[in-house]
Amino acid sequence: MDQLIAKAAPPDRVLLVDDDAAVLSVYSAILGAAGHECVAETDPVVAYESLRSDPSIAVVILDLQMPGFGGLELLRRIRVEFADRPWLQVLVVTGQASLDSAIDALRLDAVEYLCKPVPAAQLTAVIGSALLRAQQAWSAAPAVANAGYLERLREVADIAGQLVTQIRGMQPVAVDQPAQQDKATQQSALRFISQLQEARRGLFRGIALPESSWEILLELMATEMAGRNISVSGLCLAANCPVTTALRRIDELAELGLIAKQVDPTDARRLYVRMTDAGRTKMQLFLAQVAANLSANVV
Amino acid sequence: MASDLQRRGLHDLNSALQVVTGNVELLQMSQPLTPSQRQLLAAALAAAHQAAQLVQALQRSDD
Repeated sequence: MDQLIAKAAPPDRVLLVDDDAAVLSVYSAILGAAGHECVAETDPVVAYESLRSDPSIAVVILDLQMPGFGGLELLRRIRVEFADRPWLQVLVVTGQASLDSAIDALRLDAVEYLCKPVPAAQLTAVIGSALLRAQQAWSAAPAVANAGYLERLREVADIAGQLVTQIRGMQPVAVDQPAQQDKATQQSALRFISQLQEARRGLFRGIALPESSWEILLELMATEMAGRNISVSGLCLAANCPVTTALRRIDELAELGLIAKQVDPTDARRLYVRMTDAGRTKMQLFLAQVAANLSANVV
Repeated sequence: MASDLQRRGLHDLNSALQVVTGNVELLQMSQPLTPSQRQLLAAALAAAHQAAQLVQALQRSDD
């Protein structure tokens, strides 16, 4: 996370990953002609190591079908391992498109899902947009760090660490037997659930938000804290409910003034969703109250 | 239903078409080219795009 604070130059390189060297050569030549600096790797494992050692990489182009270590697996590892580089833009280019892999890629925040053969003009345009978005996200990262978010994240991480220590200390319980918890632990758990519900009720007086709306607000808060953007379609997938319901919930939250839709300035086809100042304040109050209750019940 | 071998073949064909179209487009960007050379490259690119559409239609029919 300290990389968010200690910065040198904005990331501007493109990492190309495809097991076909001839494809990589074409991508490199097309993007090189457009003035982009590329790193090409045929081996996904080597590509992963390149990403680890080279923080100047802003955009990654991934093939999906690669021997041994598929593109989706690589994308998943990138999101876990490089969560401290929220500006990383990943594009999927595949020779075998499918709805399932497109949804999986979208869930992992891929910004484009393209089918080979990709025309040179399209490749140059999407990489240009992705680089712009990466650099905007990179520039926005210090503001996130300065706003005290990192400090809060560390506090929450500390509390999570305490929880893990407590859980590790518990004895395993057979599923068909009642848990052998002492009364005080059960009361503590009940008190926390009750406090959580009370905090929710108290936050939006007179308005009972459905569970899917909470999922949307929490996902938005999480993506914002990670310094990332989320599209309407990405948010629908995160809402854990049918897409039509999720779209209705997003509209309802927008009507309440908690969230707002915004056209991506670099790609008018994409509609982002962000928290409004009012929504962010409400969620910060809620999270602060939950964190306080959690500390009181755990520590 | 297509076999895994057929699917793999269609996937590889798309990669090969990426190499063909990409290199033709790179040639089109290079200078100088005569009108006749441009015409030849445009014909090659159109045929490659036609092949790509055919591959995609075959892949869709397998979904």
